[in-house]
Amino acid sequence: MRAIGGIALSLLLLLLLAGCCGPRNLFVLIPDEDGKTGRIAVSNQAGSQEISAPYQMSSVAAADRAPAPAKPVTPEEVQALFGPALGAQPKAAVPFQLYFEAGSTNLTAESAGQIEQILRTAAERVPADISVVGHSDSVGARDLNAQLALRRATEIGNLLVAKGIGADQLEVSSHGEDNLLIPTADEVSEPRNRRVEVRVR
Amino acid sequence: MRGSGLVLMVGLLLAGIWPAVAEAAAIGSVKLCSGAAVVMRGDQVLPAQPGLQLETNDILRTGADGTLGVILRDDTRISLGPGSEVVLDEFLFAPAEGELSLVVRMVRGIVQFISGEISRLAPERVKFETPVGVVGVRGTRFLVKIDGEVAP
Repeated sequence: MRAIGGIALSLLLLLLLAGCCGPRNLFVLIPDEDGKTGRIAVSNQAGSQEISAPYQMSSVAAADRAPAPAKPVTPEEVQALFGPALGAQPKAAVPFQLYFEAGSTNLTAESAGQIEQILRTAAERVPADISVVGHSDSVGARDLNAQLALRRATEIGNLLVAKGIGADQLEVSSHGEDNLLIPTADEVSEPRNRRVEVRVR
Repeated sequence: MRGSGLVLMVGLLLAGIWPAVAEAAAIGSVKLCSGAAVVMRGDQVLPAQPGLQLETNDILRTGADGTLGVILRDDTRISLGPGSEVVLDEFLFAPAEGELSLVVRMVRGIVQFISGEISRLAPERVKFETPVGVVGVRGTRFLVKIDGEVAP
């Protein structure tokens, strides 16, 4: 009896949420795929509402009405309201970090072994987009770091093309020292920052 | 600092990959779609299909039975349910030149947004606009429902 009552209540709630009298405009925070949850702030001319817990939502009646205080929403309600948008979610990009022998564009043995894995991941995502981004650590001039990182990225790009990846699927670029994997101050030698990041989307 | 963009361009020319980079107007691509789903680009109406490359100012639009999922070059993922419209107003992803910005404008429908690298590197430069308010993004995944014909 109680279960049936619960289901009836849930259905009623769903109807209220999705139906005529429910909020017309909703902002819902849900957990990332890794289980963590970020934060959003919904703002307009009348006010701002932060949402920082998963499965919380704010409704906004109009641009000149302040966002409503955050309140809970169940995963079932989220599915009922947003199912098709959730269903069209593309797979996450898969990142690979490739490392180089010091002062060269030669991959370490361990990183060379990852090339096959990159090719397999690309084959699962047809048509795959692959970005190859060179990164350096923060030792040395910023410009030179950008160039060094680009030479390493170009090397990897050529390697992937040689292995059958279409040049039109590839984007090779350099972030130099401006996108450190391990945040450091300037002029810090950090092997984990001297890398090429391949992202398969 | 300021000269680095030019130096990088020269570096690109030396590396012989300038043409590939120059053509990189693509800011992402369609990954999933079903039913009525199109990309509007100026006067063109491009039927959505996996692999279709996206450009700044593209309008993503789904019909009553349509869905559409795209991934941008910084790994931002945007997916639309039926009856939805999203405009890709601004996309800059060049950390080496200090250029980072993402402005997505949702007109109506139901949409999921999963943030990418731009949100991680410069969250204050990511905006998800709607007719009733702007969402500031701090590394996250969220859903928005906007009914059509909202009073401005």
